Amino acid sequence: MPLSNLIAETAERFAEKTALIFPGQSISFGSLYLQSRQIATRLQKLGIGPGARVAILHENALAPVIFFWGILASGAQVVDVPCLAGIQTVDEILAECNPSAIVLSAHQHERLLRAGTKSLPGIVLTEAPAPVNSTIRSYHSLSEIVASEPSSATLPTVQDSSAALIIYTSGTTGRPKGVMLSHRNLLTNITAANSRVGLTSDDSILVVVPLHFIHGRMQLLTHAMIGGTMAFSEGFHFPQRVVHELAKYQVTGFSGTPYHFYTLLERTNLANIPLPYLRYVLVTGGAMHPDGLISLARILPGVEIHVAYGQTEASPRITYLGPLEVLGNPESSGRPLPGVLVQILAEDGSELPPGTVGEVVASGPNIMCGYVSGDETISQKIDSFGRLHTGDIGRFDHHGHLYLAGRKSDLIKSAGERVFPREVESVLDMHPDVRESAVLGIPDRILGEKIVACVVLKPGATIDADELRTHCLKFLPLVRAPREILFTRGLPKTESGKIDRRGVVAHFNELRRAKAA
Amino acid sequence: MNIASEILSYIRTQLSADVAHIDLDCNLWTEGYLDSTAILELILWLESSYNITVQNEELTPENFATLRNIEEFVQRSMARAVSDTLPARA
Repeated sequence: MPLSNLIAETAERFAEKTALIFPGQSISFGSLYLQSRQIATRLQKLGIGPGARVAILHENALAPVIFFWGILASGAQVVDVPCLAGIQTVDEILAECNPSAIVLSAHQHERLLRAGTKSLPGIVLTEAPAPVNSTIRSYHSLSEIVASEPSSATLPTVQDSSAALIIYTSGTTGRPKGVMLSHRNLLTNITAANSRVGLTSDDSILVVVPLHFIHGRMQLLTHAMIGGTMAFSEGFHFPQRVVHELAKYQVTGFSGTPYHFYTLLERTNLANIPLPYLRYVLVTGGAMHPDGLISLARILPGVEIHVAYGQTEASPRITYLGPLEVLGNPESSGRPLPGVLVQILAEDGSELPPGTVGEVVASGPNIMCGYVSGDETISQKIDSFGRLHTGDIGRFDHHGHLYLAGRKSDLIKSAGERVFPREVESVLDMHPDVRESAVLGIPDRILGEKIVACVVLKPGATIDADELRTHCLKFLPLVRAPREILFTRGLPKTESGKIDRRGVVAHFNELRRAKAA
Repeated sequence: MNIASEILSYIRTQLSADVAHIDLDCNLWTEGYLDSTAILELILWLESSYNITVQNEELTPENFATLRNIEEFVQRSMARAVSDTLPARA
């Protein structure tokens, strides 16, 4: 079944029910469905349908969600572009996936035009009519489409196995990777995940994560499937306001990364605001320390705590831990979802028994179609059996619970963002004063891991850490930039001359101690 | 340099290079200039730079949405810190 059927079926059952609430705006499932079909009709007239791609570069708002459903209804693929990505990264993404059209917010439109982005598609979709006269591009606004297009046109059908959504995430080489997820990938995963979490049309959720993350898209698709209302936060910048939003919208659910929950625990008066409607919270996007889960249970008595583990390439959920087991096994990531096979493999590829640590490998109908770059097998992310190599190290216990124990790859998870060191190192190394650099993640209570860097300067260079961070911010959003930079005379190397990642951790800690002394 | 200029300089060099064109009343958070992790770094910097303490309930858009809001909040907090150190009248 194509994903657009989710909204069609729910609109039939709950036409008048509120689907989405944004500050000052809302829409019913019925209107959302009709408007999405009007958009699909316009896209069809523009020659955009199955096989084509339409990018979305837009902060959370009502218009891009309507466009999202319209793009899916047209049979085209949605390409999510991270809003805080630097211009160079946006250019790389657009050049790689070559979308026929792009949905832009006014802010992103102005930013891309100012930067003279070369890869901007010829068709631009916006919420309100764009104040530009262009002979190069055609502009189409939501208000104009809704005022002029019929909603009854015949739309093309798409294969379940075809890509529905492309989400860009950090790649090991430093270049962003476009993860292609099919209609079947996503539908089977939201169905399997919801068979465990058990949401119904009585449920509603407060959304704080950007929709261009798989975490955001998962919430959108799940609530379209169940007919649940989604209320969108004004942003996580002011965590106390988020607590008031939980109360104001009377939501039954909240889903966040450990970063979100630690911030709510430490920077709000969550314990003092009555939340009688809140039924469950879902922790995902990284492991929360058992102390954090226990604090959460204490501050939110009677609220179910669910934990999920996964990654974008798995659409995204792999394992799940329910509220009856969370506090008894707070260090576990749970059991595999229905239909998902999880194995622990040794270095030689053989399967390891419970209790033995190895790489976590997953297979099932949720595993991505591939990367846009097509190198999923060359990069050994997908093996010859079609299994996803997560890069995480873990073990099963004898009850089938998965416990993660580290990473095989150099991946850093900071504030729920996936960052490979090479992405940050390539930016540091671009500075003319830098000879080489090594980036690593060190444990941080709020962020999960803090991105830090050891840098070797060229002889005679005088740049300081603040100036180097300013340089990084020209290319990276704050969440991906190093929060601490220490200088060193040389980096630990392996015998083959590569950076010794484990050695760098110890070296960084030595530099820190020396600086503090 | 006044407080607003100092804060802008810090944001521009340590939190986001994308804020070159903002004025005193531009909303730093809704325009997509800063991600949510920036607020915690900004608070740590304000606390150490101006010797003030930011309480959880003070972390609101009214105090932190714009450069002007932040400047006024810092001025109020500094004045409060001074009055807290003065001996109470008998």
